[in-house]
Amino acid sequence: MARSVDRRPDDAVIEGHDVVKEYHTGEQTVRALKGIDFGIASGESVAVVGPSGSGKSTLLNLLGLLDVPTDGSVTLYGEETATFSRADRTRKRKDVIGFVFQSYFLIPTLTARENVEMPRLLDRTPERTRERATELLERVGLGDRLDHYPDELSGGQKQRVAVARSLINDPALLLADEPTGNLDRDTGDRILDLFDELRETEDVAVVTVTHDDYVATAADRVVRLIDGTLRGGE
Amino acid sequence: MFDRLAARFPVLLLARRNLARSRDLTTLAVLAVVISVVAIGGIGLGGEAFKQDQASAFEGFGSTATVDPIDYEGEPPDERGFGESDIDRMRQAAGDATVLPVVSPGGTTVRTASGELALTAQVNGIESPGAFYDARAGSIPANWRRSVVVGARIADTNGIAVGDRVTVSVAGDFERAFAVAAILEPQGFADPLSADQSVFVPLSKFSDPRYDSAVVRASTTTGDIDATADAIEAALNVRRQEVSVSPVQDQREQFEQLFGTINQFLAGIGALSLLVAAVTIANTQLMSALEREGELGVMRAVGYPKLAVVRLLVAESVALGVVGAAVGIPVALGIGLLVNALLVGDPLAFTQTGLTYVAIGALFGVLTALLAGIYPAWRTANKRPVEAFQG
Repeated sequence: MARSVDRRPDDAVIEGHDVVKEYHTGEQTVRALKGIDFGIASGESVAVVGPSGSGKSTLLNLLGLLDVPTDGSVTLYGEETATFSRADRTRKRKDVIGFVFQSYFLIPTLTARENVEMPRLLDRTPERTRERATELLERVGLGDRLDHYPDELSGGQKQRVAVARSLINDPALLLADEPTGNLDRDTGDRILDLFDELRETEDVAVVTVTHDDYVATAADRVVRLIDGTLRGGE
Repeated sequence: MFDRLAARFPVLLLARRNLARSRDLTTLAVLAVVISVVAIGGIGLGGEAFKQDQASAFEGFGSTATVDPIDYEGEPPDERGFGESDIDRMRQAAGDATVLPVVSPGGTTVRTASGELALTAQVNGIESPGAFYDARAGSIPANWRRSVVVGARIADTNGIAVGDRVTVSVAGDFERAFAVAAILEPQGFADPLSADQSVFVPLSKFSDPRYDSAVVRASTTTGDIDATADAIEAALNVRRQEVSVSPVQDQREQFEQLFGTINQFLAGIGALSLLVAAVTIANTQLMSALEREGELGVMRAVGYPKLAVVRLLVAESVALGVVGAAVGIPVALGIGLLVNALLVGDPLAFTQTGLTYVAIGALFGVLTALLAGIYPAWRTANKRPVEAFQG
């Protein structure tokens, strides 16, 4: 991921060149990313590691089209994201990107299956959505928990529901923010195995942001982000 | 059925589930709308029932009008009021309507047989009370010369019965005792002669040949009081305006208009409760959105457009309004049934205006909920998803 511009992959889903992100807090300007280059190829698995405040979350927000760079360029399938309107970004997020969060963010009043359906609930294709949600939940091993509510599921099961939810729109890129942070090692391993399996079968690129070196070792590539700059890959 | 509806309108599913989540807040918000709908609808229906009750006093006077003289400054006392010739002209103009001249002298007193003063009694001289009133007790003599006829309220408050003797004194004219021939049926406040408060004395007892006013009643079969009133005014107001004829029906309309205005004002005060409902709903929605900031942020992150989040949150507050209205309408109608039964004697005596108040209350309840939901929804949807789910 910490490739130079000329080494960016040809089949990149998303690429960044000389990306700078600054935040203004009062009088101060914080430079969270200091001109980094990156590229994520389809089906690739990348772990972004680094201490708190190193810019991991900022990078994840840029990759997830949740934010735009202050300077430099981020392109999605070759298209400059800075030219996207907010509505465009919302649409692209839906079409291309899946999110998995440390705290799952499942809706407690919806069943496991309804949570997985949620991103497509407004699509007016209820039957297709339901079929796909059922299939994904079976795939993550929760075929017998379709109608359970989040408070009836364990942490690992909730995260598997969240993974299934992230896949409902068949994304090309899955962004996972500390996906095993709230799970024990065994459960965490199962989630990481699931990512591997999805990468192989669905050709999804997986970017995992983590503090945990153990999680990083499961990735094809590890990128260290320190103080807003990339320090080489492994 | 709800599942099918939810599949068609998924926002409904999300809204319903979410409202069920914080039951207490939801109940309070619904209650605020119920109170508003009941306040507006209940006041409207109650006011209408009261109006009907009061307006029933006008029943029976629909074809009656009073004729009052217009006296001009400098007119000699013997030309004030109406003379015999004026009454004749009225009778000619009125065709088959009954015209009854009335003397209402000032400075009168009425004493009961025991010598007590009947304080609120009015003394009215007319020819034949039987032409206008029915007796509750005794009978009104056809050829009436020596007795008096007493109104219901005066009889009741002073313990006057048929056969009693009462002493009527008219300052500067006469003081003499009369036997009570009849007590009249109660007439209500709309009676142009205020019969309930009156002691009717035969006209022949008054020495003054002038009358103070006249009462006209159109024939119940062929008469039209408005036409009669116009005819009298046309006949008597030749050179200048000498008489003013006011049909009781006009007074009823004025009365109803007045009551309608008072009712609107009261319902307007009731509508203030809508403000309370709006604040409660806005508060509920703001708290609920704050509680779900992370979830809503994720919804935005996974591709829900800003407007979809606004729609979802507004749907929730509208649902609060709809449920509040759905509960409030039957409660308001229940109050209406009760007030109708008490005041009008018929629980189902709803008027169109009364029902309109309930409909307006319900409509404004839902509208208030909608408006109150827009700000929290807009505020939440405008939050960047990053801020929302990273706290």
